[in-house]
Amino acid sequence: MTTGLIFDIVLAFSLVVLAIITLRQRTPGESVVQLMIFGLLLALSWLRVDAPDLALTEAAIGSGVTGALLLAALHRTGFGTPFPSAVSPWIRYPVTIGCALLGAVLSLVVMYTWDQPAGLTDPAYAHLEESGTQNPVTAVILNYRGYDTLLEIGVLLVAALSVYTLSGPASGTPVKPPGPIFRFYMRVMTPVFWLVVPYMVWVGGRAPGGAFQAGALLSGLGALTLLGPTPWPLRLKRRVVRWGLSLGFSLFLVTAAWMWQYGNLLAYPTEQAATWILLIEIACTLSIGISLTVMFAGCAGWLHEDPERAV
Amino acid sequence: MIASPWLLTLPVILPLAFGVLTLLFPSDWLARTGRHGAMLCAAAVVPCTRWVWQAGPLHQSPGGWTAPLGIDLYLDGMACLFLIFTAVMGLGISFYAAAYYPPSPDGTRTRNDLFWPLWFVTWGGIQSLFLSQDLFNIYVTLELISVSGVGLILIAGTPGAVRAALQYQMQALIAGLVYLLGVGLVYNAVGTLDLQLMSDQLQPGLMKNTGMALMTAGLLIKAALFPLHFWLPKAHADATAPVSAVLSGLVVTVAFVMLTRIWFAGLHQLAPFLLPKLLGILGSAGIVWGGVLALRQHRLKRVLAYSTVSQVGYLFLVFALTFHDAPGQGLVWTGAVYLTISHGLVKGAAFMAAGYLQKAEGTDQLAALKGCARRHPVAVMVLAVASINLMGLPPSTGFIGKWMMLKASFHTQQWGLAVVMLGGGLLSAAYLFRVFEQLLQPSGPPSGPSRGGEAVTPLTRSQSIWMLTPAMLLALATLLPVLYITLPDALLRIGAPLPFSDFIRPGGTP
Amino acid sequence: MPSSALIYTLAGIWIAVIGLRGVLAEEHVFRKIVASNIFGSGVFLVLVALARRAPDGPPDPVPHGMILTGIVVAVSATALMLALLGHLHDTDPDDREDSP
Repeated sequence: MTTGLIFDIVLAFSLVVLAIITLRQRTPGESVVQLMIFGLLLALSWLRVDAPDLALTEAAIGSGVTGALLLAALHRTGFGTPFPSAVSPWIRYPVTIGCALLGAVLSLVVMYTWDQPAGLTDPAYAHLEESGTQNPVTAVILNYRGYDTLLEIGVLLVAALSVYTLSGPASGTPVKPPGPIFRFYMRVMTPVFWLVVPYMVWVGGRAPGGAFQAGALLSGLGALTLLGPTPWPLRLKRRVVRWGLSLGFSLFLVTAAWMWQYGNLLAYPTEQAATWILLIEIACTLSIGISLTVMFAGCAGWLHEDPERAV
Repeated sequence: MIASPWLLTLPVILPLAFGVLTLLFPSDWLARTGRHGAMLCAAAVVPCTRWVWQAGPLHQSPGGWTAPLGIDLYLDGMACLFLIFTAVMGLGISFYAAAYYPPSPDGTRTRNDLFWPLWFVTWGGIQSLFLSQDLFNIYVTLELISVSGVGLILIAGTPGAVRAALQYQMQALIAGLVYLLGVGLVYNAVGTLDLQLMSDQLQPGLMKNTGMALMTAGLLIKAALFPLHFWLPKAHADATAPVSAVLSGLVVTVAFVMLTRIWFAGLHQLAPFLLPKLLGILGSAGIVWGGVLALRQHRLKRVLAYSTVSQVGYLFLVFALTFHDAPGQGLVWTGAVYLTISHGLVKGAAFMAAGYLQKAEGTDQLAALKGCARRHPVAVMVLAVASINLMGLPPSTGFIGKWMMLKASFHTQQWGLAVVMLGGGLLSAAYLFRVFEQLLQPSGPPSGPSRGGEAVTPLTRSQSIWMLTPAMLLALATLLPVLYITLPDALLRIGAPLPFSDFIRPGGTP
Repeated sequence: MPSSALIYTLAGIWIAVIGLRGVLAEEHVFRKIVASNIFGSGVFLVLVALARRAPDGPPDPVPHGMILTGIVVAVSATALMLALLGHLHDTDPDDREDSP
């Protein structure tokens, strides 16, 4: 019984308990806070299974951005209004029992078949040199399975557009002007953000990091700017926002199509792979950052139908 | 012969590119861009068809890495047939939508302008899904199609549409996550995400089977099989008409097609007696439930939406009809494919006609549409042609599909399924006749906002023509099968996992 | 002696099941959204832990790539649902069920 194992058991148990607690909170605000704590502990657990890229991404997107989105939505609907009374027991008990059975079946299956590993670790590492990057996860996302990433950036674009169709009434919900602590924080942190985001993109070729984490940070910067003393992105003409949203995806699409001459969509020639991967990482960072910022504004109700601004 | 590198990826990239273009172009260019884009995207399918016809199935790997490490795209006869189907529907819907959404008077962008980017991205996603051979790729494309579908529903802007979109998105997210959990288990059991490599590994395993069960559950939710269909009727009915045509005509078929692919890749071994019977029971329940509820609706689009629920039930009977290993299995699969395609074409046409009526009369309440056959004979004709197919009357392709499945149910002596199929046909006749009873009344109240509908701007003549021609063409395509009936059959036999029926032989027996 | 990967896989399964129960059994949409996030996190944890099954050597990077994509897709869906929820709250708070 090593220390690591004891830690893992405690952490795993805490995660399950936290999940239950999160869903038993009485008000939306409380459940959001619990969810963010859950997300951070989850990131810790992913570190324990040797997934640092994922831990970074979960902490940034799963806990950070999701928490921000939930709070932005609660800004409209109210933090403290308690949840109405529970669903009728005719639904509650069968569902709970059914889900518990499902969990038991899955646990038994996993434990029974645990000792037959199969996977693609070896081929992934074997081709790592020709992939243009030293980070195997980056190689998977942006080289071996880049086609999936292209479609996923499409999902982001379409989700941002869907939020965009919901421009609310021009009044919207006003925000309190930011206090001195927030202003100080913005003064200090904005340059830090602008330094860390490119660094994240760069370091993803060698160590845990990359476009997704950088994109999440960029969207964090975007959300902070929207909350700040001069939320200048909200005053952008809609046309600029549209172009900004399509920037990342179009860059990716054009790059992918350019590769047709080398043999197939997204097929980088080996010598140039690193450059192309970097280019596509920049495209993904922009796309994630801008789309998530637009969706944050949409959750908060700040995408107005202002007749003076061209849509 | 070496295939050009862009052969299989052009049908995907081109619609996505037009999605971006229609997002950036000014508002008055959009209708024209939409039409031309649709023609180009439909034309991108022609090289694929030529290749399959001359050289057989094709594998290509975007990214340059083949499976198992990379992603493979696979084009066989069935994929090609569905690509052609998507191209035809895409053309019809694009031309219809170009006329349906009125250009804003002063050139400013409106919410309707977002239809085009969302529609083209949906189109690209659907093409990509039909070509997909990789389990995780299927997940991403399904999510792409769902999220853009949500956006399309939101264009209507009404609170009802927003509610329907919220339910739709929640369903898509949960179904996708259940599917993803299944994919994770299967990957960890067989070490690959590629369907072909998976089907080469014939030995069943506990983890693999559990994973496949989860994947199936996720896809059943997305396919709206009873009782997991709850999210469909409001979403299809409360959206604007072109969107309803997209959703009911195209999107509904994709999950079912993917399920058949996974079926041949190993799912059929999962629970050889239990699963097909279960799908048969649920399918039958869906046929009856959808039909009965369609009888109770007061709005035309709701009737059509519940009709979709009913028709999806028919599709799932195919699993129950093939597991007996009796001769003539190919017949059933051919029938199911015919049924899928004809339903898509005809439901799209029906929603287009319903949208036309809604625009012309201001409402789609059946009571308010009394007697409108006099004023809009062409639209009602389209609905009539669509009904022939939905009821399964000859000579429509709907009849051909249902007849093939009925024959198979007699072969395998599953009389219960035969009864359900015939009963379903009677139910569709009932709810469709109820609709026509209203529409064909000799006279009705005068049209206009006094009937409680939205304000009506009279449709221009060119608008009417552009809206109704695609609808009529789509509907007629299912009525004149004699012109091309051998083409789908021959296509289906290319690269098929089991012998499809040879329809050309006299008698049509396998 | 169970490996830590097995422990986390089991934890992931139960977290997913708790989230799924929340989605199916809760009425309030906000709670459903929180529950769907928990369900997603559970699914991702299962996949990540399964990637670590082999006791030595590096973990399998392909599921890591799958989950990165999955996280982005899940957050897009969550954002969209939250925006819809907020929009409904502003424009149509009393749930007028439209007639069939």
